[in-house]
Amino acid sequence: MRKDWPVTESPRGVVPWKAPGLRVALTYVLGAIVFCATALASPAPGGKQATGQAVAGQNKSAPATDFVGSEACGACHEEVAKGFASNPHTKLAQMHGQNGVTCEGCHGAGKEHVEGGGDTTKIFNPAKATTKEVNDKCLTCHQGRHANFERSGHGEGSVGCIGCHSIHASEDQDKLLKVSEPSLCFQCHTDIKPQFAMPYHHKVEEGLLTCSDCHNPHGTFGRKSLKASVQQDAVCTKCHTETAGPFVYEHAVVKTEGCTACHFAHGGPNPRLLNRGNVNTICLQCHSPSMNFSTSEPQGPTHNQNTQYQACTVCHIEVHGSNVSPVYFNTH
Amino acid sequence: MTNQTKSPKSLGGSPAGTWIARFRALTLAAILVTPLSMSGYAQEQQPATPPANPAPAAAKAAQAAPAKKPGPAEGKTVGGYQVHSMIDVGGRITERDGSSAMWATMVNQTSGGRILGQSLQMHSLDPFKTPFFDRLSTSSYGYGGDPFDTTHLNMSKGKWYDFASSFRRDRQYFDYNLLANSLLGPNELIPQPSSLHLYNTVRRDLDTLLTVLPVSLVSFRAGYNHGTHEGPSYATIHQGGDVQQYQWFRNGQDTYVGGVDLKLAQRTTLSYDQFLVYYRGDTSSILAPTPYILPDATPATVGVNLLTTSKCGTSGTANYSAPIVNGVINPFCSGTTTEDQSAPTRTSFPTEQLRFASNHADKLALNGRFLYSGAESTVKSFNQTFIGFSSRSLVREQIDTGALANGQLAKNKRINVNGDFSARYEITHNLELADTFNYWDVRVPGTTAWSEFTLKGVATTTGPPVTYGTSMLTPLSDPSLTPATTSNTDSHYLAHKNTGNAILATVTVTPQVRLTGGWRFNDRQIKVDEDDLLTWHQNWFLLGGVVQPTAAFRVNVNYEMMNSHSSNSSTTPSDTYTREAPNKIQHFRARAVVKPAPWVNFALAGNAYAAQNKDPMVNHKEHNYDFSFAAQIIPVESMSLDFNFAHDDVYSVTDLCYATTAPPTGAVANAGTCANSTNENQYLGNGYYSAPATFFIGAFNYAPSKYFHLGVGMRTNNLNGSAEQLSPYQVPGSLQSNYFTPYANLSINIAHEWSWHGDWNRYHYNESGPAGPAPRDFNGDVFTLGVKYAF
Repeated sequence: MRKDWPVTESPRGVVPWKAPGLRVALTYVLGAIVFCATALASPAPGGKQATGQAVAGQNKSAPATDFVGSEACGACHEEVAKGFASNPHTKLAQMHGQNGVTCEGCHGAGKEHVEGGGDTTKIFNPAKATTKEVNDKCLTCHQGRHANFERSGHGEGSVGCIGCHSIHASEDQDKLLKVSEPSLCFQCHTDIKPQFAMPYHHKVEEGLLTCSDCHNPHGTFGRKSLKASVQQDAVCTKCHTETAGPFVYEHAVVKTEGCTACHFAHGGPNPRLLNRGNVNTICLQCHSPSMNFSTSEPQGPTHNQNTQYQACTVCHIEVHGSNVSPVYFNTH
Repeated sequence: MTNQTKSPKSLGGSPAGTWIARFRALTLAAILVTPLSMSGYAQEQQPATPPANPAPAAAKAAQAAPAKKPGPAEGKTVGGYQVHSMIDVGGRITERDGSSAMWATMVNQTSGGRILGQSLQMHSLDPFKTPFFDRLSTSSYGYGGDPFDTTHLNMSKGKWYDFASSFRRDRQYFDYNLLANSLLGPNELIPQPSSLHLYNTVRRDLDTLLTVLPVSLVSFRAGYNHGTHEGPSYATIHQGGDVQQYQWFRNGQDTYVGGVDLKLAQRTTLSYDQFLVYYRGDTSSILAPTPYILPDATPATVGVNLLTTSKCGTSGTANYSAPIVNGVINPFCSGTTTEDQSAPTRTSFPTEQLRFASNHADKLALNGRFLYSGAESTVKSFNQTFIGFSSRSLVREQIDTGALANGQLAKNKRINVNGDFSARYEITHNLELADTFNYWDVRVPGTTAWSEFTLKGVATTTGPPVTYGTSMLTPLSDPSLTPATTSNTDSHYLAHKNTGNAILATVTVTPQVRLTGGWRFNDRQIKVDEDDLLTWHQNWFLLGGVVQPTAAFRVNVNYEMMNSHSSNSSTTPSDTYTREAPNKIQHFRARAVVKPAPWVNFALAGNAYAAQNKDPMVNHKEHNYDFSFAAQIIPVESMSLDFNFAHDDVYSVTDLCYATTAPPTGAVANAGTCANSTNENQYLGNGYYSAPATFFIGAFNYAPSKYFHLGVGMRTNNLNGSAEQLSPYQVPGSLQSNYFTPYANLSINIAHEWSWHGDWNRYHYNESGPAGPAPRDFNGDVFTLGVKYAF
């Protein structure tokens, strides 16, 4: 099991990695294509199209003369215009010598709407648009930060931007959320809310944590829209820093199977969010003899369950990894 | 050391100074009297917003939407800003009976004064006249003694910068003595009033992020995160019996972030981030307060399991049967007088990340990233000292120190390479194709070296005649002790590589109906030390659908099926890495959101998750079936009702083997996979775990006028679970429990911009199974009284 490799030496020379197969090769090719396509699609910096996000929201097909300006909008939509002063989008108006994006950046050119006496068919109204139309409108500017949205569970499930955000009537004025987290999330995720009512739970209902501390509702490359720590460990390690390692004696499953191999993420009936009622059961489920599983080693330990040891973790304290003991004691 | 956590067993939140206790009664009396004296004045004054401070968890969880949302306070104009501000000052009165340890573990509220909440919002009336910021918002709650508190601050100045920060503090108390408790055995020696692994730690987290020129072609960001986790706790060490240690748990991490976004073209962004993460692990431990003395008055401990697993003295000698007499320990026992450990750990994680996102072409969206992280970790100045006597090994003293360069104990690296790319192409107006590729390669080589100095004694011989050897009273300078120094080295290696790809097609049948289908595969490779390379393939079949006939009705359904198989049967005959991991998964999810009328919302969700591993040596099965329902009804503007119901059925079995001298009823020896056991774990168990949980919330809010707000509700969570009991001393604990938390709150405007509020939260926790060493049930009430000033 042990080998005295220098720290900087990889054992790949001893047992080389095996080619993952044709499918993987194809994915590499796809990745290269994606990179190349990006390069081709992107003009050189400073090029004609490099106009930036500030004007990206403009209706590209509308001539400049079709825009009436936000003051014209405010003449009728006084309450909306007044409230917009505290909206984060106001910063866009200050672009381009105070001629940046305002109402018509999202709602489209308003000339016909005005000339039609407020004809609602002549203006883009997100409340009456399809989810895709609204998403396209928002992502025109927000694509950079929310590039994964369309592939996320929300995007795939037609939960559009205005499903959670309200530009003109938000409870959370920083993120323009309709209502604050976690209430907003629980409006749909009714199955998750009870987990935070379990005897042991992360303090989300209490306001200490939010759903978006661990999940990115706009999607990530990971499953369940989970975030990761900045060094790409499990998001749990941002707070539970002592479990990140690296350790001399890694408990391999912690790194390969993840925290949820042993813990509930949201809440549960067992202390320390363990996914079994007794820690010994968790340990023995892996550490029992099975010829087909390498992780069944060691088979044991052989400790009488009828003794006062009670929990494997009385002795095997450092179950997340240790620099001292190969069996995760905290002593040599 | 923080004042809040000086003692591992001090309960509740921070006392925040003795003056609070001194004037607590006066403060609360004032809070009570104030509304009475001013209530008559209230009816002509402005309304106040509902309590913004977070109520204790139960109430907050159950709170319905306000029946009538009061309009925003009109605010004041100060220095060119429209300003809204609120401060809520009061206190909590806590009464409880039952288990104080469980109360502290699950609720941890104490009596005392509080700054229940504060908030401030400032919006510039004319950005040209406010040079430093256009918008500022800050809020906080929980200061003065709540077990957790937070502060948020956000600022921005037009196109120039955005700044966001937060500070969070969370005190965690754990004394749930099921994981480690010597009292559960039949021959407990040391009366442990608490769990052997009790902890009372505080976690603090500061997050800041500054974005400069957020809407420009080039924008920059800089961030800093500082997190600490510290406090007293107990641990055990497996040496000379399981010796309890008093451990000062302390670690911290600083994260520095620098990044730049370059908007290369319309809807095309290239980003670079540099992360620098520094971790400091400074947890150290000493011997916990020792309950016994030696004949020479030296404090000592014999560990927590002496009588059942350790020898005391030597069989056949007089001292064998007399470990402790009147609190004086037999020096021939295995015992400990010193058990110190210091292992300061320093880890740096420099990480670089390059991202791009482009939707420049209308029908093609691309994004991806590449991340490289190379971590280095060292354990410096390692020292572990044991002084006592181990009758099993005859060791009188042992001192371990690091033997790598500069006295380091360990030096580890972690190389982490990530690459993710995705492309989404709109083939036709009704058909989209998305492909996502993931690559993740982690390697962790580590090495350790230590020098071990021992003083070894001589054994007592049973004779006759009896010859007494080394004991805990033997001086360390005694010539009978033999010194020895050994050098030890060890190295290990872990590598894990994941390569995955998912392709998903989305068909928009009609604007109201979308269907998705796809396939995801994941190749896994794991290598540990010189073991064979292990490889697996996972294939996922993905289906989904959305029906959204109107904006008031949406149904989502998703189905996933996974099948795992090993790619190299000669080295990995299993289809998974761990025994309890399933090689077949089916997961069906459905959600519906319905708003049939403006005054009512319904939401339903159902999950049917089933997984298995049919390996005959494992027989693993698990499922999680849940159904949940939520309704929000606002029949009139002044009234609202909220209901939540959920039933969750979690179940799992996995064959396992164990040893016991008191096999439970029905235990079978040498059966199934346990017939192959190479050790004494001969009894076959199935790891049965079932945790059906039923959850209900009901909340009612009533605000007949703008001067009065009433809320009542309750939350209950009932668990009727069971698990295989490997030990006759095992108790189900919270697995069979009911947690019932009713609440009520009342808010009354007492003057212009002033309101008074009172909150009552009751916590009723009851376990229905055997209690174990001490009942854990508790009942408690938390009364919160406060006066709020808001404009």
